[in-house]
Amino acid sequence: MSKFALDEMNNVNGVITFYRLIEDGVCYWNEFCVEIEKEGTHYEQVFALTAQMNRKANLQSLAEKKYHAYDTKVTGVSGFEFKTKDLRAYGIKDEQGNIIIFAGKKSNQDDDEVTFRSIVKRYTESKR
Amino acid sequence: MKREDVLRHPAYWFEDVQNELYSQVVDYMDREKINRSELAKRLKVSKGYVSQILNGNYNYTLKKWIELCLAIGIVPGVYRKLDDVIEADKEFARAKKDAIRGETTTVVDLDKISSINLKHLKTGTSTASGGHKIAEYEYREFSPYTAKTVLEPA
Repeated sequence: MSKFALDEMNNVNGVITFYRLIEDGVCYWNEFCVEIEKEGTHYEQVFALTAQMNRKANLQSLAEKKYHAYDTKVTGVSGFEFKTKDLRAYGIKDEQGNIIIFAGKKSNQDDDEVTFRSIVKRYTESKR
Repeated sequence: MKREDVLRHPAYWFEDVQNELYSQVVDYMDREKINRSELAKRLKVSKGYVSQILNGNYNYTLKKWIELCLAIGIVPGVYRKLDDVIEADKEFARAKKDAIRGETTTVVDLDKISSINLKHLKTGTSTASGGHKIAEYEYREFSPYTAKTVLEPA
């Protein structure tokens, strides 16, 4: 069984704390950021995602097109998605707070959706 | 990527300005009790233009931006020194750490607060409409658009 940890996202500064999920030492959000930075093309959109998270952390509204509920397919676990033109960040709300689980490109959304739900399932089961 | 690097990046502020404009226009529509069509009519713009605003994707000319702001009764542009913003941001992070001494989490349902405007919270309100608890803290004088932020435990 995987070991999970939560790390506070210091790039997001607001009254609401955001965490990033770490599974067996791997932080999917960090890996995503590094990969996007290496590729270069969409790196600016990582800053846009961070700006969106920061607004939510400060109780400010966002357009439905940029933030909305996302079905985790796990009973009792609410998900959400932050969106830019080409990038997506997926998270959940649980008793720990708001957790960024996974992120990916719009072009890979179908596969990422499966991965996201699978991680949420493992994370949820690990807490039982 | 450090928080300070984020605050120094144009893409962060571009996104923030788009989102703040969205928020201001939604506030205006709520105040005036009008829909998209009525907004388009009042602004003398197309529905497509209104959609861009309400999708948070406004990216027209500076002139158009000023016209839009004035049309909804706000003055465009708040110019602050970047160093002041970064310092206020750090101060807020420190204040938050102090405020949550002994506590590790703040559980908030983001969907329930998506339409809450921060100005409603300035007097120390800690519940959203309907009595839903939105935070464990009391806010005073908090706004990302002011240089000073104070956060205290409720």
